[in-house]
Amino acid sequence: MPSDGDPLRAEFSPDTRLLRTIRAVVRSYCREVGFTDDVLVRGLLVAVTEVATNAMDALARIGSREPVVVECALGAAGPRITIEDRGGGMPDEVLERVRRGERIEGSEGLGVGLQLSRSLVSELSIDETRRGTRVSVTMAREIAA
Amino acid sequence: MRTRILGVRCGDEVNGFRVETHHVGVTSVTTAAGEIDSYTAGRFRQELLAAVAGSDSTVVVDLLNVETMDSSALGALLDAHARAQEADVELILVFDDPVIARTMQIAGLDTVFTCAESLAQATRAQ
Repeated sequence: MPSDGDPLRAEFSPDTRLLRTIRAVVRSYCREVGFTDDVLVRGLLVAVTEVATNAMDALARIGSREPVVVECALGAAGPRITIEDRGGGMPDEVLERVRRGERIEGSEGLGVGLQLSRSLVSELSIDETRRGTRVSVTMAREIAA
Repeated sequence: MRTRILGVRCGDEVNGFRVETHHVGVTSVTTAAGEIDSYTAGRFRQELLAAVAGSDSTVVVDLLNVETMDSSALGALLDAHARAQEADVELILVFDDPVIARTMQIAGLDTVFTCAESLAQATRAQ
């Protein structure tokens, strides 16, 4: 039987409550696995919000109602949150700039969302899947906020 | 170890966010609380711009009870900052949270805004 602390997978329909609900799930998972440093948890929540917002925007751009998939797992360093969308993925040029930690000019908002996420967590990785983007963020227990 | 599949049922409340403005003498104090993200940043921006428009001296933005704040909130603050400069209104941000401080620093906004760690300090900064 699955129990508290086991990996968790949830699918969220894109709607106005998505971001808050994802944060609630991540916050709850962190509590379950004993990751309770408030500053680190809230840093992780900001990073997750940025990534989930990008996923929502990607889905909205192509008019998709596909769910955003969130997975929570506990790695050796700390909790790892993976957010996957089927929004068609990032153009190669944008992906390269994101990987270099640059601002994405022309995007909605300040263009600093992923840059901000990368700076708040200990690790951020981006994979392009066949149909969209999969972003994982890990918050190590020892990282200084 | 097995992966749990979570069925999520959302409540009716749209994000735990509140914002309001009150006046202390000639100073407007805009107090935000809860979570500011892309869904609530529009309301935050609207309140900030209204506070700036209704002020002829200082707007203090109280972020002491903001739990999480993403880049959309930074966009709202920048819009308010630009409007405040045009109107010759001083905008002071109040926060003591290390996550907000780090967010501002990463976005390079810590040097753009006048910041204080308490409402008393913001009042003295005027």
